Amino acid sequence: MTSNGLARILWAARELRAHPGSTLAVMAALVLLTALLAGGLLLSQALTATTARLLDQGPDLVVRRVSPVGWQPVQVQDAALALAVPGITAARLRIWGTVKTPDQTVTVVAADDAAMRRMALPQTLHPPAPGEAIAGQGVILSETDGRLALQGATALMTRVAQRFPSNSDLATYDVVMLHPRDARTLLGLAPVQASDLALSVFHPEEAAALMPDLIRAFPWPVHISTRLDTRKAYAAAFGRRGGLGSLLYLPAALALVLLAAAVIRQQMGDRARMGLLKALGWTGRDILALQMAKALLVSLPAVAAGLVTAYGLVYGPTQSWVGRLLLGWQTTPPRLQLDAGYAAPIFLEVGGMLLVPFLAAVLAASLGLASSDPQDLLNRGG
Amino acid sequence: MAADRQPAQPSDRLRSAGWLVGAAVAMVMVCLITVALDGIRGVLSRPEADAALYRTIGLNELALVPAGQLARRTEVIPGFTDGRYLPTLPRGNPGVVPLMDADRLAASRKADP
Repeated sequence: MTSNGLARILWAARELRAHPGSTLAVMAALVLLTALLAGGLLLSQALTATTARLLDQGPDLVVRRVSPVGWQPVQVQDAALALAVPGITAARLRIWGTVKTPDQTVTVVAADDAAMRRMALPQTLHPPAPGEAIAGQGVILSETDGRLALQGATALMTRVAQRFPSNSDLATYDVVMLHPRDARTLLGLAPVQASDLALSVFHPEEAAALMPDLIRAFPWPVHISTRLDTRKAYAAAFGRRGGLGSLLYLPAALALVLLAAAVIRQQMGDRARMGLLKALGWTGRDILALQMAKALLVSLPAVAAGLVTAYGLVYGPTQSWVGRLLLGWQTTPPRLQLDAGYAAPIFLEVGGMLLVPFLAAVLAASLGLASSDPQDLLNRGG
Repeated sequence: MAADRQPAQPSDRLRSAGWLVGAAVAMVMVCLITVALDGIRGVLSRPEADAALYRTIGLNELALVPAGQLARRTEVIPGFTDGRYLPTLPRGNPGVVPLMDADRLAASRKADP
């Protein structure tokens, strides 16, 4: 940068310091506006990407036996019916359900020894023995000795021997894993029954095409959901919340108009000073450069601060506000380990959306000042 | 020469204006560094622990909302419900409506003219 350019920027900063109150107000408003818009977009994008990545690890199809009164348990031998359908490569009987503890509702799932052996789990995690449990970080133990009272179809007292690691909160936060026998007792299932069937298919893209064959394979009515259905349900939930959030764009746009108007009004109030500078030999180009430098000195750091604030709110240690405010947690919410890598496009989008109209408004007003006659400016500004 | 130099006037804001410009540049730099670090995190560190446990547990729900809430209940996820046996259930794919089935309609008319 030339010394002339640096001097112009310093002079612009000096002029801004002459009006510290209005400068700070405009900057604070821009920071808030940017943080609001960027935070919403970043959170929505990170949540969608993270949930999609996790759901891709889940079953391709879930088959649930249904009746007019709700779901019905399946029999252990029903897995063979599913496996007889061409294209189904694995059928896993799931034993799971939602039960109460004295403090909260938790999801109970039976340990699947084979699955636990197949996966590269942390060395400290072992399948729970009868009477024991592995609990997520969000499961509250009211008993001091690590015992947990569960109330399902029957009451069950279990001892929490292990905890799921906190970096898996999204999958395990309020999940309690029990021995299959304990889980069946708690959920009211007979020893040959399971909650539903999770199926793997040879080509996940063709999971939906197998549904007619699956329906014919079972001698009772079924509800089948694909992984795509689950992903769509989560995307729709985020979309609903995002839709409500997008209502904020209207007041945000209005706030931006008011901000630009305030800056232009301030510039117009400086007409006498601009007239004086022109009378002292400043050219129209100098005046224009000064006004744009002032606008950039206010808007660029404010927008940058807003973007960094938004990033901190979504990925930082204070992120629990998402669970409390948006996801309905009354107890301590899970620490969301959200996938990163989406800041650049969102920062560009939000930065451009705010900076371009703001700078354009300042430019339009400055062009008028720069092309005016010094005498006129002195007379009208006085 | 040093004796000729005048001390800065209290009203002269040029000196402190340098700090203002420096702070502005620093803020923009922090933003750029944040974007760069986010990009590096996105490329290099994909959390795998949660994915492995999620696969092991085998559920198709996430602990985003508390257990028991409607948004967590995967059984209400719209899927395909087979209604062949129970007409009270929703029919995701109803097939041919019996009254519109020409063969069946003709057979029924023949049986009951």
